[in-house]
Amino acid sequence: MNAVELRDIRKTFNVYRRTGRIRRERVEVDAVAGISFTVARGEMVGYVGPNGAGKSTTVKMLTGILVPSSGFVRVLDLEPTRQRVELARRIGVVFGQRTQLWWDLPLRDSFELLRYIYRIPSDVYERNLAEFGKVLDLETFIDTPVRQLSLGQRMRGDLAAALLHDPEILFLDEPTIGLDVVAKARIREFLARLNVERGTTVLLTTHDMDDIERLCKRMLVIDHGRVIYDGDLQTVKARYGADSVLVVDLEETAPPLDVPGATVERVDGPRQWLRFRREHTSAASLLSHIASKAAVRDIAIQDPDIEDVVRRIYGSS
Amino acid sequence: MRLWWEVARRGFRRYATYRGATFAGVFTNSVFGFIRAYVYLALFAVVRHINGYTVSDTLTYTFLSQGMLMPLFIWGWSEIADTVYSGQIATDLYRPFDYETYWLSQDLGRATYHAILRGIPPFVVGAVFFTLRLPHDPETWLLFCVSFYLAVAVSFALRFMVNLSAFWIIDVRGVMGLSASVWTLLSGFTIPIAFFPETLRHIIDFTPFVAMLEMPMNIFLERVHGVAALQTLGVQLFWVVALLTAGRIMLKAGSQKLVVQGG
Amino acid sequence: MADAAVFLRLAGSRVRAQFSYRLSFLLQIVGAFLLSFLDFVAILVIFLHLPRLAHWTLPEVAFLYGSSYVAFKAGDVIGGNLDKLPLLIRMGTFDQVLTRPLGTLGQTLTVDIDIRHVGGIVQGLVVLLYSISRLHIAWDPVRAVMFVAMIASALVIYGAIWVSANAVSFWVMDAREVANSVTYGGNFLSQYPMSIYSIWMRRLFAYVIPIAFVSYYPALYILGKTDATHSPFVLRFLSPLVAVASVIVARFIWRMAVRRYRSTGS
Repeated sequence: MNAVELRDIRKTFNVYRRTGRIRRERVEVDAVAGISFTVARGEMVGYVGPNGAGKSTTVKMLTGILVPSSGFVRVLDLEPTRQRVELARRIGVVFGQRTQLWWDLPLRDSFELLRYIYRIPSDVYERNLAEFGKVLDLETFIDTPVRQLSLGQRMRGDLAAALLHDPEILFLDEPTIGLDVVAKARIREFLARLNVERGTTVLLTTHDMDDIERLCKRMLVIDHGRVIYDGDLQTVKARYGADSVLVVDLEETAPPLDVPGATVERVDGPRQWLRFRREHTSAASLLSHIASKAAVRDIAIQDPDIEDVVRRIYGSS
Repeated sequence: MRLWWEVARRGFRRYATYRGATFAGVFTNSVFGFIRAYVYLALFAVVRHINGYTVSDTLTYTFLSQGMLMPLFIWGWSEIADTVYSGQIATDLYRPFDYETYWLSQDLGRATYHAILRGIPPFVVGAVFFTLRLPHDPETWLLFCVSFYLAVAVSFALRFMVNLSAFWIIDVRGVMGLSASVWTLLSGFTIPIAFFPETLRHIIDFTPFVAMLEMPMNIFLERVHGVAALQTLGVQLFWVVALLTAGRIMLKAGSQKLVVQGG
Repeated sequence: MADAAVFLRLAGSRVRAQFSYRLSFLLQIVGAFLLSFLDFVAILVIFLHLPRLAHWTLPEVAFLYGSSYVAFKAGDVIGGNLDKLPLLIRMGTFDQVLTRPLGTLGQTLTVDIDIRHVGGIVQGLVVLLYSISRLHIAWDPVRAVMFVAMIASALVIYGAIWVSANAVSFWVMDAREVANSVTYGGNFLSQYPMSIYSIWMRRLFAYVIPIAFVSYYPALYILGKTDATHSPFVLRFLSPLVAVASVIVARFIWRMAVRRYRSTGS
């Protein structure tokens, strides 16, 4: 049975554009322009795309917030907007940029309220609270008002809050946005475990490629309201290639470096940009080659971001 | 001077973006004007004069005061208090211009916008449905203009101080609500001060609140003429200077607290 | 019904959160109590100049004012935060409301509970008690029932008006102030006998926005007054029915508003 099924889903918004001092013109904009895909139970799928591609709109249609303009949508065999309340009991939703916790209450009190909102049996509640408390390390701040939590702590609290009622699917909208490296790692580890141990289906939107790399076997790339790729990350990389860039600051200005496995893209005084593929060459071997030719003062590595990947998918098609 | 003019112009423009809100506000002010007007019509169906006010004087007062509500901005201005809580004020205070004059200029610009778009329309609505009294003397308009800006300055100075109380109080909303309600009553917004019992009236006359509404109204309704009108402006000016000075002292005390405690 | 228990719990948590700033909170209640008296001052000042306003004495007007104000402020405790709908929509709080297995209206109403309005309720009660002590009402079982029904219906009618008027925010974001003209404006209007208003205002505020049923019509019966507007006698007993009808209308408007939100996302 499919956890999520979408067939030719569209969402059109009316946007008003000012054309004169007073006059306005109505323009129809397709936020989602005919999307179809299915997600099997137990899958963990990354839903990626640049800002404004239609990611959030899709999630909102799947969680019963928005009604599609046309098309067929089923989540756990329910029609999200018409069977909103029933569906709400069986899914969890986390919006990375805002919290569903009560900002002026201690985390524990928010959990307590959610327990009543979702009518969670007390044994389930106790068990989940104990487990999430341990895995997400909530104990140290569970009695602190939410407004005093750091972003990372708050996100952990939000994740636990969304999972207390044992949802079958977890929707995450940008769960790692704004978090530092350590916090990101922690969240990813937790999600991976959740997916494996509990079999929870996870659909997460992100524009952080690392999220996908660490978490999702499958990714859907969306742009301008359409799915432009559905498959695994490795295939994208192999097929469309996503280059990383090594930026080196040399001690003094030098001609473009000749290093195997990399091409110099740009030179600006003593700084050079070398494009390479992580699958073919490691940064370390590049660096040792460079060091043998010139004195290196500093380095930085830029990994491909989602915009790069999207550009490449377009470029090849 | 040029700087303050530019600041005032920006204050004017800032509010020009909220079209829907402007329309909604005019509608609401007019509705309240209507309700009040009918209360006064019932009152004047029994009595002919109250302390020199006729029914058309009172209706004029009603719709003009509905129009002055937004220019005087009696309710809910907490911009400065917000910067105190966010700590932004520390930076603002070190800008190379006078803090109080900056906000006063911006507020006068805002009041001009509100006078045109929120002040005149309710008055026009009132004039369509009721008999209102316009000044006979052309120079009254000029005097009223001056008196209006002095009233805005008085209201600004009071609001400025309420905002600055944020230096000492954790939550200014209580003080803000309390003061706004006292002002609406004692400025003559709820009901003309002239309708109050005589002894009470004499006491209220010594407060700055009458300089916000009662005094411009007296000029518009030509209850004061010639020298008396100039005297009224003089009293308003006195309150402007006194309250702005008080605000300045408060700001100084507040910023000292900021320096000592680091916010 | 089980949902009602959850909403009570949500409301309770909001109230408790306010108690955490005890002093500020207490001051605000006392402030609200004193401030709301200022509303009554206008009525007192008017009665300095005449014994009867449109054939209504001061205690009679105080009866209208007090009964209406108690209900209005009680409605304000819960419905007052509907004022903040534009903010809830902009901050995405309303999206969250839609992802929870509870009704949207109940959740929106319990987003915040502003307990400070209790000060206003007390003030309304004080005015009401003053008026009853002066009025020599011929109390009998029917009048007593009518009195209770009046306050209860008024509360429900105000609640329905709060919801219907503020639902406008789903269509026009910055037109919130229009809602104020029927909520606060309606309460202000109800403080005086309806007979002072022009005929179209009376019709508007009786048959479209049922403010006249909040206190005027039932008060006519309880106080045994004749109606200068010559309205049908039966209207004096209809407040409970009107309350039920306004709830139905308010629910319908709210549903349309939520439907609109879910199709436009704003």
